[in-house]
Amino acid sequence: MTVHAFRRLLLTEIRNRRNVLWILLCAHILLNIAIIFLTTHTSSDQLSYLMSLNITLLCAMLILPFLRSFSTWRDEWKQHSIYQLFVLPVPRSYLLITKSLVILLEACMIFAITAISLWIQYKVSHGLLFRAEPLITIDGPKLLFIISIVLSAISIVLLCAMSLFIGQWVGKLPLLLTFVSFVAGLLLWLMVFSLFPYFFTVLVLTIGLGWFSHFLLEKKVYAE
Amino acid sequence: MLQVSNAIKRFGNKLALNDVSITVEEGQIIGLLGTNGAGKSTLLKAMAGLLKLDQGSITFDGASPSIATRASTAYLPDMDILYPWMTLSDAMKYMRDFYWDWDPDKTHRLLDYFELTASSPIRQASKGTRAKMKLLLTLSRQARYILMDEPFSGIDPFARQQIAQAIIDDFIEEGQTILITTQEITETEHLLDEILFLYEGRLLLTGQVENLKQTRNQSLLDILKEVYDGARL
Repeated sequence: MTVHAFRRLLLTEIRNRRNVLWILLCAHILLNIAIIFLTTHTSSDQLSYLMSLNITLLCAMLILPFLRSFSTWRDEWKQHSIYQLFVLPVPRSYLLITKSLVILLEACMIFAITAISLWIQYKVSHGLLFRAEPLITIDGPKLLFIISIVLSAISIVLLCAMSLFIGQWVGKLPLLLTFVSFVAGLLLWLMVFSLFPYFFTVLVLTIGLGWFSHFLLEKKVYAE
Repeated sequence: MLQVSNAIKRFGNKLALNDVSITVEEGQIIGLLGTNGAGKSTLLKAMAGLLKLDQGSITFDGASPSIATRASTAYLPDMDILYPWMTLSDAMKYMRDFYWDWDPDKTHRLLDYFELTASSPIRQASKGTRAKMKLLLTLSRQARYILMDEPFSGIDPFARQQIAQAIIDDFIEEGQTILITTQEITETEHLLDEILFLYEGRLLLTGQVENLKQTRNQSLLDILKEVYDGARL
C-alpha cells in the first residue's frame, strides 16, 4: 500500500503539472533550436555572445520550476485539494518528497535539453564555442561540486515550501510572511555558506531545511 | 468509539466550538444538526484531522488521530476537493491506491445506483452529480468511521430521501459509525439513531431520536425549534 500510495502521489503531481510542463519543454526546445540555427550562421570570431544567450535562456527557464516550488503548495489550498491530501493515510513527508521530486525533475529536464543543445552547438561550431574537456572530465572535487549544486537546488525547493508553511501556520498575512521568511531563510543560507564554504555545510543546511519543513507540515500546518 | 472531550476552537474572536464533549458509540448513525455557523463542519474537520483544536482532545478507540485513524476514517467535505482535471475514474484509482478498505464491487454497485459514468470529469458535472460522485467515493470504502458534511447538498429533494434510505439499507456495512451534518432534518431524521444539536459552538441537545420524540411527544423539528428559541433568548 505504501509503494502504491507514493507512486500515486508522484503520478498525480506530474499530472497536475503536465500541461505546463509540455508547453515549457516545447518552448525550451524551440528556443534552443533557434540558438543552434544562430550558431550555424555565426562566424567563428563572433561566437562569444551565444554562450551568454544560452545562460540567459537557462536562467529564464529555471525561474518556472522555482515559482512552482511556491505554487505547488499554494494551489493545494486554493483549490481545496489540501483537504484531500491531509486526510490521506500517508506520512506527510511523502507529500513533501513527491512535490520536491517533481520540481527537481522539471529542472533536470530543462538542464538535459540545455546540455543536448550545447553539445549540438559545440559540434556545429567545430569545437570553437567552448572547451569541452573541462566539462566532460570528472574528478573528485568536480563531483562534489555537482552534488553541491544539486543539494543547493533541493535546499531552495525546501526553503520555498518552508516559507509557505510558515505563512500558513501563522495564518495572518500569509503571502507577506511567506516572502519575508523566504528572504530571511535565503540570507541566512548565504551567510552560513559564506562563513563555511564547504560541501558539508550545504549538506547540513539541506537536511536542516528538510527536517524543519517536514516538522511544520506534520505538526503545525492544517487545512483550515 | 469516537470521543471528543472539551473541544474548544476559536477563529479570531469567534468561538466556533465551545467546550464540546461527545461520545459516539460504534455502529450508530449520528446527525450533527444546527444552524449555519453552529460549528458542525468545524467539529467534523477537527475529527478528520484537518484543523487543530485550541483545547480538548479527540480519540478514536482511545487512540489520538494518526495515520492509522486516518486509514479507518472516510471524510466527505462540503466542497470540491479533488483536482480539476480528475474524472470520476481517476478519482477512483486515486482512492484505491491509498485505502486498503476500498471495495471495487461496492463501487460498481454505486455507479449503477447513482447512474454515474466513470469517465465524466468531476468539476464539470452539475452540483447534484458531484454530490453523488462524492458519496460514491466515500461509500466505496469500508471505513469504520464515516464523516459526512452536508452530503445531500445539491441533490434534488425528490431523490434525496430515496438516496439516503438506499445508502443506509444497501451500502452501509454493519459496525460502521456515521456522523452526518445536514440541514434537511425532516428528510433524514428517520435515518438517525442519535442527534447532536449545536448552536454557536455549544452542544445544546443530545439524545436518541426516538427517545426524544417519545418523551417530548413532538416531532424532531419542533424539539429543535424549541431548543433553538430557548438558546436565543
